[in-house]
Amino acid sequence: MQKTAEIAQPIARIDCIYRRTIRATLEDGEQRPRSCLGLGVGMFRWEEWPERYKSGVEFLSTGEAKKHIDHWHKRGMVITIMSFGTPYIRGICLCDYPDCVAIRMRIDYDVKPYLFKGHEVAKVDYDECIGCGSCAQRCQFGAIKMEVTVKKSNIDMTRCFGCGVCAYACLQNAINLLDREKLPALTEEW
Amino acid sequence: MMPQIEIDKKKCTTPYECKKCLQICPQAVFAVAPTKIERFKETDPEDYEVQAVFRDKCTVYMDCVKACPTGAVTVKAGA
Repeated sequence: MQKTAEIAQPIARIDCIYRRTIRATLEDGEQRPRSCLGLGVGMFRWEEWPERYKSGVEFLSTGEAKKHIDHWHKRGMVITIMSFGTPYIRGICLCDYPDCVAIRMRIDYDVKPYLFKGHEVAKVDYDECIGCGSCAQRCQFGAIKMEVTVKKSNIDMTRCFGCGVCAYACLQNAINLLDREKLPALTEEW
Repeated sequence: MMPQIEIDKKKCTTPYECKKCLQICPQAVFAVAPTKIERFKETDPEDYEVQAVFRDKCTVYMDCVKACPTGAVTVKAGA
């Protein structure tokens, strides 16, 4: 994601149309964050579609965009890339359940093209895990459970989307993100 | 099986300002969407409507019915 922010210009901060539609928050200020990032020259023409870009756009520098992504990733948002006719990348989305229609379509209705999994898969290091459960609270995909008897968290790697939110939440650094391609059973699992 | 959620458009006159059902629903079933989008123009709040998009997720908890100030929402458990 950070690399996307480096390559893409211009970057504009906009509010999430789904969040506005589903949970009714027109995002402004810290409480209702203007969370998503629109990419590309199309952003200069946002005024043509005032309904879509309600509350306006705010152009960011590469550094600001990286900071923005980091800030929300740490707080538990799933960072996704939005394509508008792949491979054209149109934006960087910050998603959570149930606001994000892409996440909902994928995990509730199993409509795959809405959201593909990431290049990484999270795995718990059982020696490091103290079973505090902070990762389990964060997972937006229902992939983490607490194993009661051993007091450790358990990540279902086949369900994991590799967003890394749990790794950020883990105070023990017990969650590692592995390369999906190096796990034969998961290589084709998107 | 699916609950029948109906929104009386005649009673639900200010969907864009109100949105109480959207915020209270535990299953986030509702959406408020513009019925038309025009270039160079912001959609008039009157051209919005509440839709029960994810109605298969509804648990018939009836919070929306209680929250609606105009009584526009009715939910019936599916047969």
